Amino acid sequence: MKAQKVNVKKGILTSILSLIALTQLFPLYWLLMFSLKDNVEISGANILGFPRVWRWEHYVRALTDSDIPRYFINSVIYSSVTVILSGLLAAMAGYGITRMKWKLKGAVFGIFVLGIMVPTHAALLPLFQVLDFLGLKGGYLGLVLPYIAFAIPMSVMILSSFYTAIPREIEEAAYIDGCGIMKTFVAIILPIVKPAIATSSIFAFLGTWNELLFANTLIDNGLYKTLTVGIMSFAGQYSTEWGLIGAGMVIATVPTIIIYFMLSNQVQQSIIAGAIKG
Amino acid sequence: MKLTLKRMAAVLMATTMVLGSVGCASKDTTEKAPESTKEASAEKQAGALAEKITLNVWHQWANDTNELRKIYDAAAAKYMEAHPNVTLNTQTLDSEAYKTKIGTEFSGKAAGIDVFYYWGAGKAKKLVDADKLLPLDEYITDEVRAKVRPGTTQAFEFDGKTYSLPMFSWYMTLFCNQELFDKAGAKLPTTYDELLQAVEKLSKLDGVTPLIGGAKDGWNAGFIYEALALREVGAENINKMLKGEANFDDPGYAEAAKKLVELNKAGAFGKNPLETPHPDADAAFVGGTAAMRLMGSWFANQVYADKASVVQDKVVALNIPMIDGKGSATDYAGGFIESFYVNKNTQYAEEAAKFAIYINEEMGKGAHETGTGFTGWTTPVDESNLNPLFVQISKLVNEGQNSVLAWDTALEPNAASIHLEQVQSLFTSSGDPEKVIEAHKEAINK
Amino acid sequence: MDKVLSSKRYIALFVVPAFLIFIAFAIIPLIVTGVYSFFEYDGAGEKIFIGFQNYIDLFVKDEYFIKALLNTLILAGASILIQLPISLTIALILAKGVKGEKFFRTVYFVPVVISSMVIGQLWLKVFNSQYGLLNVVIRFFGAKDFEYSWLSNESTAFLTTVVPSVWQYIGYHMLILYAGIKSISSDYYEAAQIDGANNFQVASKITMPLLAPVIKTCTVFALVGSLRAFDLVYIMTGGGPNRASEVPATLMYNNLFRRGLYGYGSAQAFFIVIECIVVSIIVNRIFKKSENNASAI
Repeated sequence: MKAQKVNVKKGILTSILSLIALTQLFPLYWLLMFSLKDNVEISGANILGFPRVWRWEHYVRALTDSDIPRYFINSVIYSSVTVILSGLLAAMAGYGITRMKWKLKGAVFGIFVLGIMVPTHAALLPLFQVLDFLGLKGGYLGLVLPYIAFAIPMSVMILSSFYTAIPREIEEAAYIDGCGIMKTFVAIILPIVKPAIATSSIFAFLGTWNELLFANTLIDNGLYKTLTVGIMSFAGQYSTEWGLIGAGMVIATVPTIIIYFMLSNQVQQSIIAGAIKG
Repeated sequence: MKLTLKRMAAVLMATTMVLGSVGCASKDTTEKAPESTKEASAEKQAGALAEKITLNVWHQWANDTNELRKIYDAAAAKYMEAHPNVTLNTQTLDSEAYKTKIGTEFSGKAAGIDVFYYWGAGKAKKLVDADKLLPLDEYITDEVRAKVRPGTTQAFEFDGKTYSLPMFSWYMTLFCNQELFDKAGAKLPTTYDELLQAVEKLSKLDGVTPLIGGAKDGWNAGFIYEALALREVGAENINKMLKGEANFDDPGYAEAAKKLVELNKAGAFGKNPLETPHPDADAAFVGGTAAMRLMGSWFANQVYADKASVVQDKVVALNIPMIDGKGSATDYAGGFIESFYVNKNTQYAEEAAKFAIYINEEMGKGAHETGTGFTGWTTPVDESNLNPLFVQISKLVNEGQNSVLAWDTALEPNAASIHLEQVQSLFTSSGDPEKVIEAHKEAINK
Repeated sequence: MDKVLSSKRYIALFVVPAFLIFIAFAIIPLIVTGVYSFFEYDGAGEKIFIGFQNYIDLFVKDEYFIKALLNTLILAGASILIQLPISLTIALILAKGVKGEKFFRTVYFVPVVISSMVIGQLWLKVFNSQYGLLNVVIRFFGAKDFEYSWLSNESTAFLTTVVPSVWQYIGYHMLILYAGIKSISSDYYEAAQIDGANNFQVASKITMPLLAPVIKTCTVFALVGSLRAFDLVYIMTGGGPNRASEVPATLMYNNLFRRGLYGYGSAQAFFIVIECIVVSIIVNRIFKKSENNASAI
């Protein structure tokens, strides 16, 4: 009797959770269906269902009528360089701040945290002038450096909370074994904080991959354009063919989903580990 | 530190200006050579000897499939062939991004830009005031002058100097879906009263918006008010107001606002006019679910070429309906606003100016031939490929005399924004014409 | 080891590269924005120093700024009172262990990784008056001619944009809270069980106090995120209709890039930054106090 009651309760709980899961997954389903329909279906005739005719040609056109493949590759370059460099730099800085002994480390950490508060568009015009002054405007570097700069604070925060949890003894043991600081860092410390690196990577990746405003203003050459910029101009050009725009959006979204699912274990582990310290 | 930098910049600027004027004095003498062929060959020779330079050109036709982009690319290639010492390095961004980009670049010296696409009147004025644009007067020869159609350069002239030459114009047109009018038993409107009657009949059709506004985008909302104001106030007075020579106080402005509210109450723009942005409104018209659309002549192309269009041969192009007893039928909304300009900081003022003049003429011609706009040049154009709707509009254009630009391009940016958002508020159920007029007065009257 | 860890050379090697890039491309631009905020500047012409006038105008002359601030407060309120409780409830349920725990955890996070451009487009379609999902459902339940436009009416436009903002980050906070709950040592629960505490007592007496630091983190993120909200509002309403759904960041964006009011826009930008810093300091203080109180007991 009691077991039955528990089962019913569990069943209700599971169905509520499933319902919520549906609302969270709905955008993916919707976007996919949207990209395969024509205007008539999208604007009323068939809002929720499967397309009456599956218009795969939207994908063919999105990939052949435009430079989307090239922009895709550009975005991969920007994102991966940002992820790798910001990850490395933040891992080092976080280690320096949490494990090394110096006076100003609190202040430096505070300045990094400040970076999380900056609304990025507030910095656009001055940033542009800084890049101009340094002669970096227009090329790959002119976009990658700001991306790295704005990815660093979050990564430093995530990684720092991990470093503080590492027992001193591990490092001490390494030093006694005669490892230098570099070797200790690379061979001992970094592997321990792998989940944190995965998490900061996914945040850096999302921030770069979905970024629009910097990509719009800081790139001078069509060759260097990113996918989001490409999709925007694609949407502008085919503004009345909604399905086609949908196909472009799917092409831009799929990599983020794949990467998330690939890394989701690590991400969850690290958020879980990170939260212990609050 | 900053001051010294500024001073140095000023000295440098003065030096280049002196050098520049010396350079053109000598050029003037060569240009007086009687035969143009002689001049051309001399130029080519000079070109072969001249140092090789690269001009950075910017425009906003970002997509390879864009008609204007194709025209530009062909013209640029031709230019490089004729001027072997000049390499054109062209960069593009899409419209909104382009505006942000140019605005940001010109907060500094815009060193990577020699020649660039921009809008005249209010937009260019800001750059002129900040001393960012190069006046082209000394590069515009009599021969070039003679090729420019009269009355096409107002948007590019400031304080007696010409900063650019026209490309092509647009013409505000009332596009009507004849099939839907027939179905509703409505008459194509030539006056405001007829428009109101047509709206009443058309609004009875199921699933049809009588006059799709696209008012979620400010400039679309602006079009409808500006069209009514054009008929109420007349082109001459509006132009004075836009240039700051007259105040925004003609009673016609308030009348226009009231008429817009009247149309809205009659259901002209559908139940939720502010819900539809510009592209969705275009899609509704070409998809046959809207009976009218008030748009620029460029829309004719979309009616024909859009893959989603079901209205190709059903569309009639009309002038903005008249208001009884007011205005002149030869007034129209539209005109020349887009053009290529030269950055004042360019290293190669002369070459940049020559290219800007050349590309404006070529773009005008090309745009006309593809049915995108009406050229501002007397250069002969091939009209054989134009779609019938565009031909209809070009007949209307030929009757036009006084034009008014879209207000948001003619006013300075802040006043333009206030104008658009105030007009948008007229599309809500609580829209208050008096408040809107007051806000306009505050923003425009000095 | 301590000698190595306090060696200036290594500290520089580890910290300086990240710090330099961050200073050059984030902090310096921010400071320059702060400097511009004291000028009248159109982005191209002369800069005229006007002291605090831009900041005074924010509150005295600008009829939209205060309204925009109120809007972000509504959003912040919704985040704290709706989003976080939902996240916390789900986290508590998942942490107790249900079938498919990992599946739910993964799926709930999906909206976080999708770009705002896509999320915005989706919700625009959901709220469309004619073919939007919401109105279709309402019509299905009887209101036949229901064609209310949620996003183009002044009274509902902003509240409508709050829905997707709250929805998108439920999974994000859920995951952080879930992690916090999982990290609470099981000893506490065993002790409570021995004392015969019920579920509610366990949650309120043990889980919540121990979870306070994590809740604090979530609160700061939710508040700061609300105060600088931009993307979804910009995509869905652009601040309209009749500017009813403006938030400070959309006002700032318009002033900077549409109206050429660069100095004034910079003041708005800088205000947002200051606001975020102040709010996070206040939240930290509040939690510190309650933590102290808790430990005093």
